[in-house]
Amino acid sequence: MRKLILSITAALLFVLTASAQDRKVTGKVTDDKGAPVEGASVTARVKGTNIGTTTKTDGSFSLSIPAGVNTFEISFLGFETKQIKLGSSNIYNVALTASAIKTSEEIVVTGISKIKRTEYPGAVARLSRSNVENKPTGSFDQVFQGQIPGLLALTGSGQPGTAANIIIRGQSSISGGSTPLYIVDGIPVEGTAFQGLNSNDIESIDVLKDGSSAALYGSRGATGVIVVTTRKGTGQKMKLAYNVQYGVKSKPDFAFKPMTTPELLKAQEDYGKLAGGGSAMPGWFYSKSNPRYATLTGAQQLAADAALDSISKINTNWGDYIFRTGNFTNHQLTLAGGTGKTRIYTSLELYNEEGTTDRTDMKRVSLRNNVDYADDKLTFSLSSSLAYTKRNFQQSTTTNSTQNPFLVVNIAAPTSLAYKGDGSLATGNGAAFAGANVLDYTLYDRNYNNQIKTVIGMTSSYKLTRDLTASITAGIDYRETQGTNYGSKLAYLRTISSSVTTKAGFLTESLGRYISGDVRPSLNYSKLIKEKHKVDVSVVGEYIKEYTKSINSTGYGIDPRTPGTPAAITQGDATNLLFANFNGGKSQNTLVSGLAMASYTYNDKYTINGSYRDDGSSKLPLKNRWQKFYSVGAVWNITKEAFLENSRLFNSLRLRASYGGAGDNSAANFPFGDFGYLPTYTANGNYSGLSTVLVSSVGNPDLKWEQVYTTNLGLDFSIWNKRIYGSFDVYDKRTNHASLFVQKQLTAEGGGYTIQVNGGELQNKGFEWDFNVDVVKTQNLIWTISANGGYNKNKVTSLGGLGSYASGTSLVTNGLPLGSTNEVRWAGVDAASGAPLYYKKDGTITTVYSADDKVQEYGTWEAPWKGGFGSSLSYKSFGFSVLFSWQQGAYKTDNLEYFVENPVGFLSGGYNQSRDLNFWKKPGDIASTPSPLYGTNFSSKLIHDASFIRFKDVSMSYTLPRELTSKLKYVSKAKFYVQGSNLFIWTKWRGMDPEAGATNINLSEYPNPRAVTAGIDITF
Amino acid sequence: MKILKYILFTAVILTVLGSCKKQLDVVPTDVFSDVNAFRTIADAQMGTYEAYARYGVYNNDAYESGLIADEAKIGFDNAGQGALTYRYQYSSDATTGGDVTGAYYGYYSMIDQVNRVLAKLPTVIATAAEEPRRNILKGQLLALRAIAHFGVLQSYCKSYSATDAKGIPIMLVSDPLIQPARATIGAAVTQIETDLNDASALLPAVTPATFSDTVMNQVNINAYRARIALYKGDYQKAVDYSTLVINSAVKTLATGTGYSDIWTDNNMNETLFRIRYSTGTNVGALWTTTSGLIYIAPSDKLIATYGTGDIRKAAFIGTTSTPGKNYVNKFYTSPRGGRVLDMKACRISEMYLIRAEAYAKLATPNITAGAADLNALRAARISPYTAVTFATATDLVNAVLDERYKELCFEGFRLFDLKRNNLPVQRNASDVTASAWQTLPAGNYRFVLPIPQSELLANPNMVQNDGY
Repeated sequence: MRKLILSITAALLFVLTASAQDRKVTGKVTDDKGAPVEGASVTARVKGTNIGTTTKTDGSFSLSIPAGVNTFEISFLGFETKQIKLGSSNIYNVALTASAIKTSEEIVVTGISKIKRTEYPGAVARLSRSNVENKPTGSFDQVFQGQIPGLLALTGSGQPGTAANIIIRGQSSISGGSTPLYIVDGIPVEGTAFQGLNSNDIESIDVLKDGSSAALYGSRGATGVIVVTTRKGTGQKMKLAYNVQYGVKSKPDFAFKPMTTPELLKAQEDYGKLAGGGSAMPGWFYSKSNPRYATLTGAQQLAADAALDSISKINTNWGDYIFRTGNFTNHQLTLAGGTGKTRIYTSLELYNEEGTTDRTDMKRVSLRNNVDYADDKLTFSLSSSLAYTKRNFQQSTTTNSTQNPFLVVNIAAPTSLAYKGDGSLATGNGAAFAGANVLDYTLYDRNYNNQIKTVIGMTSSYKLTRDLTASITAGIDYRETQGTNYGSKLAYLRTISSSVTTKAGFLTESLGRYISGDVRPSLNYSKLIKEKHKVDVSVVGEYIKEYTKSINSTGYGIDPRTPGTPAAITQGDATNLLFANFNGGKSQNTLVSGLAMASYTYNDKYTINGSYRDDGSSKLPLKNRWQKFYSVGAVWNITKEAFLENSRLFNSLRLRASYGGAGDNSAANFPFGDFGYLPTYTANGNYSGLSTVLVSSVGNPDLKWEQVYTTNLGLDFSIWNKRIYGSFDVYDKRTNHASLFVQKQLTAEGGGYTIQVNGGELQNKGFEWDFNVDVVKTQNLIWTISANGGYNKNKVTSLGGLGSYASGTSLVTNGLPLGSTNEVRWAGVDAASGAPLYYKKDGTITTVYSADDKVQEYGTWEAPWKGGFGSSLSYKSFGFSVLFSWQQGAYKTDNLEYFVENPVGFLSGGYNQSRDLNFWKKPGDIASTPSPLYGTNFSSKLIHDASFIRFKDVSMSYTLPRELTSKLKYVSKAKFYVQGSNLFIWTKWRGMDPEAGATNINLSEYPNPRAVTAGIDITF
Repeated sequence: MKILKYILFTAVILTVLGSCKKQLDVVPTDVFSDVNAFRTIADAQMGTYEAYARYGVYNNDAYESGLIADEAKIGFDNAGQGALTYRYQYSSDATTGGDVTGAYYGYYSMIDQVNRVLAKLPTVIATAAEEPRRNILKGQLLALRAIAHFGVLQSYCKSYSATDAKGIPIMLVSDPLIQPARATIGAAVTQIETDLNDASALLPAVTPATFSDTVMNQVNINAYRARIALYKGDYQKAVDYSTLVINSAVKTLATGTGYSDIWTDNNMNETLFRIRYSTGTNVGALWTTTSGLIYIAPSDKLIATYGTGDIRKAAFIGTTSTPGKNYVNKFYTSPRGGRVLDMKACRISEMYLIRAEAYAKLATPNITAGAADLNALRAARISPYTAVTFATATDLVNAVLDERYKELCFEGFRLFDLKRNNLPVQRNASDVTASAWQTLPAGNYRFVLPIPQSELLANPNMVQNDGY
């Protein structure tokens, strides 16, 4: 573009304006397709002030230009501004070139600034609208998996609207979380509450991964920054669009298959022969092999035979009762357009998703209004969204509770009925009724929440001079979540409880409120000196305040005719003992910051930049309150060098280097809350109804932020006529300066407290790639293949002199990655005795399980290798794309296996087992599970490879050709599409889902559903 | 003009940010800081309540004893609860040893709470009328510290031997960062005795009219002194202290429903010290859940010990329509719902049993006096009852131990009684599913519970018990 302008300028240079009087210039402004542009500014600069006009409906303009002025300018939002040298003619017909798409690819949005990609030293990945829109998910971060190199996205639950677990370039903290900092249109928003954000409103997502990007956010940037930019109006005539999408969601297939009735009865009998057992195991209890049988009278024996016979005719498949096929619908109305300097985008959306089990769904109504204004001095942007979301939940998912339907579906005995003859649920007390009891809870109980979420942000800048701009950004993020959890007194297990309150039914009403306000004034000086030296300096101040409040109340004695309302709570008294509980809490914190940024670019070839940020936070003790963060970076555009300028091979080649650091104070990640440095007491203790005073936190008076500094080296390339393009990055991310929080388990004698102290260090090293090949690129056919991924090696490099400590099923150990599972190595089952065998640390085999023999040789849940690959093909009006995501090298403990291959704990208790169960029965058996005479311990037997390749997405679309739509009176664009999500998964994992969030141990979680949807986008 | 604009803009920014700086001084709204946690005598009282609340005899001593000794068997509805412990497969980590390592943290957290309040007690504000409370609270706290130390000693050490180096760390101040070493058993017992002596001296005299079984006082301190003297083998002191308690007449042996109603919290007969639970803490749910699932059942061996006419059989053993499916009826029925019942930490019947055993074990045994105490207790429990006599002191000791088994089951004594007397755990064949855990030989290392693995990691000066 620059070259074009230069050549036009050169062509016009010889024309000099000698005339000394005003000239009247006229003309017509059109877009690149020849359509007239209304409202474009036509301005000429006269002695520091501007004179100007705007174009009319037909694109025409007329402007009187004073003597001595020999240029004028035509500008319009979304188009490149054009400088016109006055020539001899007074008529100028100008065609503007659209800049919108180009801009989005060439500009990096950091949320604080916008930087030309060619001058940006950091590592950034971008998702555009097409990657995000029309995906059948209630939380937009679920689309990240397989699309961003170096980003690990794990679904924790298939519950509609649940946020993903996102980790950028490995975990940088042991006790802190990894949730990135999210910025929506310049305003920081809560990291795990996206159910109120309509993903179809998103224009682009910039994922900032390196230290120079993080340093801009100081004490908040350590986990990476995800910057969301929402859609804006087009600046042209208002257009109405309607999008509708329908589909179904269904359960995926699992590798664990529960036993059928004959299999279970046989297993029970086998168990009983060795270890005995009671009536919980009918296969043994009524068996003729049971010594008890011989002691029975003839009539009793007949009764036993009859009982066994009738049980063996039952074969309940609990999956049929617990899973269902859910519906998915989404409707959206969009109005986008504007006039001249003003652009407007409005959308209204109705989202409705049913989960794959009863009582799980999400409904959302969201409204967005974005307004943008720009003239030559002032720009103003307002981004506002309001959403109401209602979600229904099952009880106890992702727990080992027998109320969890996803556990019970695998452990409920097929020998039990779901319903009695009269149609009521076959509930009862004990393991045999686990399946019906879960259905009973699901039927009677209610568990849902309503969320109101609004994010409003505005940015306004004013050009004080040509080079100096003053701006202010301000916004709020507000969320209120009101939850209701109702336990009906009609649920069978409550009816038989001896607890007065349980028997009466309960209702818990909770309210959680989050408000964060952000004000960010800034001054920017930007100047291009002698066409070669570009200088950009900014000073930014920031003030952030966060308030949280929660209220929880539980009342009892709920009349089932009025479920789920606080009005039904019975007031407690000394007779009924139904005393309600009421509790909650509130807190606040403040962040005050100063930030300076500077960048210098020489001749588009070399750029160096740096930033310095000083953050003051109320979360730290006075002596550590202010902490500083800095970054430096450099870019070398090699193709601008003489030796490559005429290269036919390289279209662009750019080397980037950056170093910088940040901390992490977000509520989601910082493990201390707002007052972690203070020793605190509460009077909330209770001794038989009397309040007691006790320590609530011992505090850490030396608390400071963890500091995460990243060195990044990157290469961007585009070769062979831009047919092959992509980037490659290497990084070394360290939590250094002995700042890593390490857990210090204090002694029992000191009160048994555990505190976190700054002291350790940790390293993530890795590389990332993003390669794209346009295999075919013709006018009608574009076929692209792309692959991205990353490798990350995580290692604790220091525990600050403290010892290893357990964190879940892992042990935090110096020299090993975080999450390294610590377990006794399983050596199989002794063929002679059926005893479990374990490896001792010295390699010998023992039958005695000892925690001292635990070793860390099983890797970790966090896959070192992860990525995605896909292909897209567009032929004329047809589009087709596929996306696969994968991870390699993750190892997790399967808690479900502990239940379904566990004779002592579960088979004998009357629960169902996996068809894979093969326990020792007689000497010589080669079994995978010990004899029933031995218990089952957690051991490496349960650790399995959780690597997978997921067929994440496939979509096909057809857009009505322009020739056709131009004939239709009311439709300017129409697109039809069908789409499948999560259709298949290839994995060795046998449990519900190999993902199950950022955790070493998979409980019975809500599995990721399969989705097949179809939709239409119509623009009128 | 332009310069002025910048100056103005910068000035505005600086003013705004400057005023924001004050906003960094945020104070917590939901909690107190260290300085104002204990300001008044009322605060100290609330801190003392917390110390009482942490005396978790039921899930420490009683559960350990139930699972390891011969009082219980695995219940009908057990799905692994306590099973590893019952099978003598526990170790020091939280996964397999949670049942037996919890007490270590429980008792020291109680001691920490005591020491925190004790440190502030001299300076808390009290009105003239409140002033006597200062010494009363101090006495109660010292007594609680003593019995908590004794709780650790019983579970994590071998039988009393003054010079045994694997005693317990003695904690007299609150210091979250401390890494103490184990004192000898003798030193620990000396400290326990000192605390109890100091406590008794600070507390006012008690009459049956002023006695309260919910706080530490001179009478129940003497009861604990008797218990500790018996543990230590100081039998004359055991006789002396139990005599003081019995003669104080604050509680007498109950009979009939007066006795069985103790266990449903319908009366407070016999209790010298109890920890109150109004809601939430389902003491009896360790054995039988609130929905009636039997996790841990009374052993056939225990059931068989009760003869006809023994009111304890019905009071302690619940039966169902299924033969052999029994449940622990002690701590089962609650007037407050669930299995929420007060923990009977010390009862008068124990005093009779202590004195009977101590008489039998005196250098010169007093078999007659010991038999009289045993007969007094039995007469209150068994109807009709004929008094028995004993030919030898050993016979009497054995009879007392059997009686303790019957009387104090599920209250946290049996394991320590067997350890103290160097006896094995001998379960009935019908109480176990495999012979591997039918017997725990006398003196086996598993009588001494493992120090938690996490404590060993946290405290370089701590040493593990033998065998783990």
